[in-house]
Amino acid sequence: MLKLCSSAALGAVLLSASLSVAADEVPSDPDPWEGFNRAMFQFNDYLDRYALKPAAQGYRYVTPDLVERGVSNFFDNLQDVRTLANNLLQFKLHDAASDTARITMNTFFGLGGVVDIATPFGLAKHDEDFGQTLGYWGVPAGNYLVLPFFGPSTLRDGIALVPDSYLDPVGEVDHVPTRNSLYGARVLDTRAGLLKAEALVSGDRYLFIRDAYLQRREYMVNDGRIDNEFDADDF
Amino acid sequence: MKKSLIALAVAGAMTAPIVAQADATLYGNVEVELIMGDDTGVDLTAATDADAGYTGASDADLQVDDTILGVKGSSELENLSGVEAFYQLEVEFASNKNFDSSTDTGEVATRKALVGLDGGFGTLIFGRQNILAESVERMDKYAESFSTNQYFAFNDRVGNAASYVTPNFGGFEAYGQIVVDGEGDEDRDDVDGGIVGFNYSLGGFDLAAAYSEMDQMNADTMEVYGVGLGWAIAGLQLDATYEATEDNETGEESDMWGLGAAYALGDATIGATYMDFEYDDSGVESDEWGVYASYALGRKASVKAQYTSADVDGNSLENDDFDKFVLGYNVSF
Repeated sequence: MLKLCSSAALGAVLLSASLSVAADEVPSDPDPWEGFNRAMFQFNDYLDRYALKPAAQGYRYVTPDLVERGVSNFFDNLQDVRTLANNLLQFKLHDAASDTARITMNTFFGLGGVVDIATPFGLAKHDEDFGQTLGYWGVPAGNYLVLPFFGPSTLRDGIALVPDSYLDPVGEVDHVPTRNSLYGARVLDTRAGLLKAEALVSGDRYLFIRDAYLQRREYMVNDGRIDNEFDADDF
Repeated sequence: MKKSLIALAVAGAMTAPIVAQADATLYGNVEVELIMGDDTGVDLTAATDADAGYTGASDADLQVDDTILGVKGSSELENLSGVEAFYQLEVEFASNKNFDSSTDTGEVATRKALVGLDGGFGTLIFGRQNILAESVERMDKYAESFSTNQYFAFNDRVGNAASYVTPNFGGFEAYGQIVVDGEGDEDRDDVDGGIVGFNYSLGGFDLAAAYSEMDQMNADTMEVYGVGLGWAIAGLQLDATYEATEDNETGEESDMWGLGAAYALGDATIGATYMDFEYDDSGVESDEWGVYASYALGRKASVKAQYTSADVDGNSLENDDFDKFVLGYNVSF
C-alpha cells in the first residue's frame, strides 16, 4: 500500500495547503466529480490519520534532524531525474543542463545525494513533472480528481503519474525488499516534511486542499507566471 | 642576541618582496583521481591483443594524475627595448608506485624547460615546450579517457625545439616549430622535424590548422595533418577536430575526428564528446563517447566526474567493453 503512495502527490496535498487561496477565484466548476472525490478524500484522510501521520510523527520523533535532512536530500536527488527529463520535454535546455549538473554533483560528491551541495553551489533545484509538461504543451488540467493513496490530482496530472513512474530511480531497484523500503522511507519523509504545514489548513479541509492544489498546479505549470486579475476587477 | 634575532627577522621580512620582484612564479598542480574501469591501460588503436596490452582485468585505482611543479617568469631586457625574456621550468613527479612504501621512487620527468623572447616581432621559444599544433586538438577534455592519449596524433610537448609565433593580427597568428636533435635517429639531418600552422579567432569562432613532419627512430618520417574548429555562443562551446597521419616507412595511414560540446552553468560545466579513430591499413576502428561534469570550487580547486565508453571493431578486442568512470579532485597553485 505504501508502495503505491506517490511522494509527489502526497507532497502536493499538504504543501499546497500552505498557499492560502480564496475559493471564489477558481473559474467555473473545476470539480464536477465532487461526490466521488469527497469519498476518496475521506478514504485518504482516514488512511493518513490512522497510519501515515502517526508513523511520520514517530519518524520525526526518533530521527535526528540531520538524518531527516539527509533522507530528504537523498529522495530530492532521485526526484531531480524526473525533473531533468521533464525539463527536456519542455525544451528548457538550460534548466535541464542545470539538473544534470545537480544530479552529478550531489550523487558523486554529495554522498549519493545525502548532502545537497549543488544548491549552495548555485545550481537551483527545479520541480517538474509530466503533468506540468502536458500543461506546458497546452493540455488542459481537466476535472479535479482525488486518487486513492495518491491524493489530489486532475485528470491530466493523474494520467501523467504513469510516465513519471518510469523516471523514478527507486523503481529500477531490482531487490524487492530494498525497493519497498525505499518507497516506504520516501513516503515517511514526505509526510514528515508536511506536518508543520497542516496547521495552515482551515475551514472545509476538502475545499481548502482542492483549491490550493489547483492554484498551485497552475502556478507550477506556468513557472510562476500567473495572469494577475487583480487590476481587472471593477474597482 | 635577541636584537640580532629581531634584526634577522626584519631582514627576512624585507627579503620577501625582493624575491617577488625577481618575477618568478612558482606554480603547480596536484590532481587525485579515483578511476573505475576496464583495462585502464589498454591501447584501443592496436592491431592485436598483445599490442593492446589487453588483460581483460577490471580494477579500481586511486591515483595521482598530475603532480606538476613549475617555475616561470619574465624580465624586461634593458638593452633591447620592448623585448622581454622569459623562462619556464616544469617537472612532473611519478606518484603512483610503491603504495606500501613511505616514499615513491618514481622518476621526475621534465615537461618543459624553455627560454624565450617576446616582443613586437612575435615570440621565440627554445627548448622543451608545448607542441604548438596542439591547438587543433580542441576536445582534449578527458584526462583519463582511452582516447586522449591514443586517438590524438600530436604529442602534448616536444623537446629540442625552436619555435616562432607571429604577433597576433586581428585574431590571426601563425607559427613554425622545428626540432633539432643530434641523436636518437639514424639519419644525420640537422633538422629532424617541423611543424607549421595557424590559429584564427574572431568573436566566438576559432579555427586552427597544423601540419607536422617528424623523424621517427628510423630514417622515415611521420606526417600529421590537423584541423580544429570551435564556436562559442551563450555559454555553449562546440568543438570539432580532424587529424590524419601517414607513416612514410610503413605507408600506414590513420585518421580521427571528434566532436565536443560543453555548457557552462556558472561555476559548473557539463559536456560530452565523441571521437572516432580508424587505421586504414589494419582496418582497426575504435570510437569513444563520453560525458563529464566539472565544478570549480574556487579559483584554484575543482572536482570532476566523467564517464567514457569505447568500442573497438576490426580486431579481436571488438567483443569487449571498455568503460571508465573517473572522479577527480584538482588543486593548483
